Amino acid sequence: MSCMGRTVFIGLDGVPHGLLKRLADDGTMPHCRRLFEIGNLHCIASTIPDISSVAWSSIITGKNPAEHGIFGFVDIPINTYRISFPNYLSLKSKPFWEKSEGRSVILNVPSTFPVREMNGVHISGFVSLDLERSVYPPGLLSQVKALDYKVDVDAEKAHVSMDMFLSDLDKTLTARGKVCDHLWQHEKWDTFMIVFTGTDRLMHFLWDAYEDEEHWYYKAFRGHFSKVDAIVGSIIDRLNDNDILVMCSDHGMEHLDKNVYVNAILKEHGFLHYDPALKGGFANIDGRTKAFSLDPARIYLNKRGKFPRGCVAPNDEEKIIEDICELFQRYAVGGKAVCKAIYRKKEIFHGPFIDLAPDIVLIGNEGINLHSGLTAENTSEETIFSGKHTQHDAFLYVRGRDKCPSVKEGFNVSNIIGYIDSLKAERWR
Amino acid sequence: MTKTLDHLSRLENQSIFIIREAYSQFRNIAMLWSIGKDSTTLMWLVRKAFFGKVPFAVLHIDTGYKFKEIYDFRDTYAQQWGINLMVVKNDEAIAQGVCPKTGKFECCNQLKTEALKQTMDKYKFKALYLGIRRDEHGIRAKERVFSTRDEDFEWDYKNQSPELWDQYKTKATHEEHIRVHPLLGWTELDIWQYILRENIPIVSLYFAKQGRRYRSIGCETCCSPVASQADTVEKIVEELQTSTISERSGRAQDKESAYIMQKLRSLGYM
Amino acid sequence: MTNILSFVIVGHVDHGKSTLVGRLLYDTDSLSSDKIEEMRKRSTELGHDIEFAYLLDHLEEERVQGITIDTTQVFFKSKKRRYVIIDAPGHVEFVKNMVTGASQANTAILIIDAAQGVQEQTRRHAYILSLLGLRGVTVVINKMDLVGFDKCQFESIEKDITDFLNRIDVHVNVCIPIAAKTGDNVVSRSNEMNWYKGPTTMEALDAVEIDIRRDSATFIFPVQDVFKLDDERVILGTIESGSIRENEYVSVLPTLQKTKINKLKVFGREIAEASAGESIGVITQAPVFLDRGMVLVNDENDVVCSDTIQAHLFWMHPKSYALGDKVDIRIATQEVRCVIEMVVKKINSSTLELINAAEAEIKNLEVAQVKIKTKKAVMYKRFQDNQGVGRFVLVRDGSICAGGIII
Repeated sequence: MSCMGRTVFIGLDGVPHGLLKRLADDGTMPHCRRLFEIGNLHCIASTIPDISSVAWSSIITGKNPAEHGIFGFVDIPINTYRISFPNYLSLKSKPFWEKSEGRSVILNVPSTFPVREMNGVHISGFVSLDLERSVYPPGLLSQVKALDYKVDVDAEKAHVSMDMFLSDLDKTLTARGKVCDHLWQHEKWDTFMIVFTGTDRLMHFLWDAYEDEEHWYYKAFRGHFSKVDAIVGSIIDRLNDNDILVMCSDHGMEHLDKNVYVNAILKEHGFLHYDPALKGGFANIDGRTKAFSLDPARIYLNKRGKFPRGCVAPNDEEKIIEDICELFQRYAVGGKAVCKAIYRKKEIFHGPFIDLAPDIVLIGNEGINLHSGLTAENTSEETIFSGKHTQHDAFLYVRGRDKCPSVKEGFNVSNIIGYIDSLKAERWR
Repeated sequence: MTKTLDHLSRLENQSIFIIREAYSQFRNIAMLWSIGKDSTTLMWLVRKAFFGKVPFAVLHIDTGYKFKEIYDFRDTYAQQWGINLMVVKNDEAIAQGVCPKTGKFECCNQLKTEALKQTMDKYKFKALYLGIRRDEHGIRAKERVFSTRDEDFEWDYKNQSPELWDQYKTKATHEEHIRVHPLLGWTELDIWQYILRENIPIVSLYFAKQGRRYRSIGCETCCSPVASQADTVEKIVEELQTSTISERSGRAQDKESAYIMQKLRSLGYM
Repeated sequence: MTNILSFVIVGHVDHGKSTLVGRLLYDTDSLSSDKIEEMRKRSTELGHDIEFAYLLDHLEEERVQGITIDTTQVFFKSKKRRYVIIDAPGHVEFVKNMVTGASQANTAILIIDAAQGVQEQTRRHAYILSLLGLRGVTVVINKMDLVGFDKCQFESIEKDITDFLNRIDVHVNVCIPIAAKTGDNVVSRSNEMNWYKGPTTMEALDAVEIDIRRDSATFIFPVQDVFKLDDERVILGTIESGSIRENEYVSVLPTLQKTKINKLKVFGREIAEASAGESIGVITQAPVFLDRGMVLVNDENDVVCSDTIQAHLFWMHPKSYALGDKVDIRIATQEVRCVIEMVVKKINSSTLELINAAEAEIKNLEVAQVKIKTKKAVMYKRFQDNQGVGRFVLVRDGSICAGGIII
């Protein structure tokens, strides 16, 4: 152990600042409450778009999406209309643990599959295709398996039986706690990072159980958070006073009213043309298409030279972007604007991979979940999910009240790593 | 707030209703237990219907060619669950040398169908529970929940009486017996998800060893395993889900993409 | 939370049921690429566009060989939820099979050929739906391509069928002009019929709410059996409506005794409350006699207990009913000897014409409004108030020969 203390970094996927504060206050999360009395809890922003793969990539690299190259769970590579799924291999900046000299334990950070050699232990998070490629060093695999470890809850279960889903969620968390415990005890480390992802899954399906005391799953909802809190408690009990403790979420969450389908709106207004009778998704986009969108709401111009049937000439780009922005500014469903904010590429992205970035990113209004499936025929729909991501209301917590640099306005998740570095520097001084 | 039953609970309650309905009509009923996943699930539901008891005879048709694992499983759980087990064998045919080599059809007919007929006659069973599902194959799609067989075990599927709502044909004439199918509306995936939810013990043959597992089990001589890595119930459920998805998704997507897509979809991310 | 809607597609045998099912599967991505490719190839060889009706034939062939799924339960998924089509086309040879399928369905699609309009079979099937209590149907007018996507033709058929359905108390959720062959207004919106502003077939299905037994809150528990468990007598049954907690009082029908629910039993876990749809066991306070066919309720004033029943019934047995014949009536687990005392009116189920009610028999496929006299009092409610105890079957020699609803 070095004299400057170790760093412990806990992630709570999707947990909003407001919810965390409330569950700490109402006794659901007593350990967090204890922490909040001896440190600062800040409300911060997520990345744009506010999706886990992008946000966690920004958290672990401290970079803008146009620097690390991850813009969503799906992508369409240049010169194709083929959907691809970016993973850890697509991440174009180094995560903090590859830049520091110390030894790290990294458990369940989303979008870090497949794992590769590093100084320490790395078990990747959602989406991980198999456990074999999720565990580094490979020698650890049998122990991880023996503890019944599972990367993620099987969310399909929630569509079949909520009870089954909850029991799987609980099992997944228990096993994660055991592996965390095991690594804490048996590994040497300077930095220990763990992300709890079940919180996000739970809120997607049961946000309505959060506030409604009459809800059948009201207790189960809080039960999961209590259990996460207990594991957090067991971690902080083992900390020394000079250890740095940071907690954060990658985005916020709120009630979901409706799905709104961006491509259906683009199609409705003549920006997007494809033959819905043909299979093959984006491959059927035809040459008249000016723009299409990828999940959650990243709009790409169908530029000449960039895509196979690209038709948008450089001179026309600005005008089309203007038209699309205007369309979404006024577009409403049931009297409610669908967008809370609309960003043009240059306002939000900077870095060497800006050419791969979407031209426009939409942020859904309160309760509106923007989606970009191609098969949607309606422009909006109700869904079985009850929670959706928000770009605002993520949180950052730092233990210790003195010696902490302030968190400035406009702070977002990509600033966290830099912030931790400055904390370390402060302690060192 | 009243609870809305989820899909598996609804299936479970309906099946228990059917099991009790048959038992209330036919005290001289028996159950066929092949030790496979479906009939073991049925056994589980029977135990639920009667609070841990199995109040009728359970028949296991033994051709003598079953896997060792099947016999072990049968004996372990017959004892643990207090089952009145009757092992059914056509000794005569076996003595005459009927075996898989004499032809699959003849072998099945003699060692299974004939054996069962003899037992039904001997004990005067008027009804029989079976764990069949509509989605299994072929002609089973036309099955009813309560289905009549004549004295020759023939099934006149073109001339069945209708079933309305929860009302079934519950009287057998002198020559007939009735087959009761409490799992008729379940799918293979439902069964595995229920096994997972309830933690029902299952013969190890279903789990992959060296890259292969059995999807259905019966006689060792007539079963062949399929390629699979699924060595837990959890993984079998996942395999069934992703295989249908990858079949469905068309195009040249490889299995990995299909898997990711399914994960993202189930979370509403796509 | 569970999102599986089951439905039937009914209508005249040639009006395009198979094609519609094929289209639904194809357009919701429920088919593998191999199957689509094969279909494309086969159709090209025959020199025409993809024929979706083949798809089911093809599935059927595979099914017979035991390779793939059956066609009587076809599953697919929209973005909103999962669907199962019960007793899909090809199996609806017999009215009783259709009845068996439709009685298990949450909702129905009635299909009509735009060129041929409403036919006898269309009306008969619709009538059966109404007798089964399916109060809302989605009507699709198919093969619009054959009539040049003509709005007037659509509206004329829409009027015909809506008039008919209104007369038999069936609500038309929506009437949709479609061409299943080309996919117009099935899952994708039609470019040919811009005059139509309503939902597509998929949207209409997505909008159907699954009936979650909203009946009445009255606790109704038909006794299915009495099971001796060690020293206890456990009353078995499935709760028809309402809910119950331990220590609540209930009345026994038809004897009108009162008793207390001492314990609720479910194997493997403790419960203190149970509600509609759950198959449970109850232990009542001794001594009270209980047997199959009795009903436990928590509010006997909310149900009828009588030996006279007014009903609509549908006869579906080749052997006619002759007035005065003794048959058994079954309502939930109650089974009592009865006679049809009077035929109020008899209706031809396709023309809705009144048939001479003085005729002393009810023939196969006839619908009748009747007065039934039971040998002893039975407990029931009107169908519109409670589905489970508002419907019945008539049984002769152990076989179901008629079904009906109480009015």
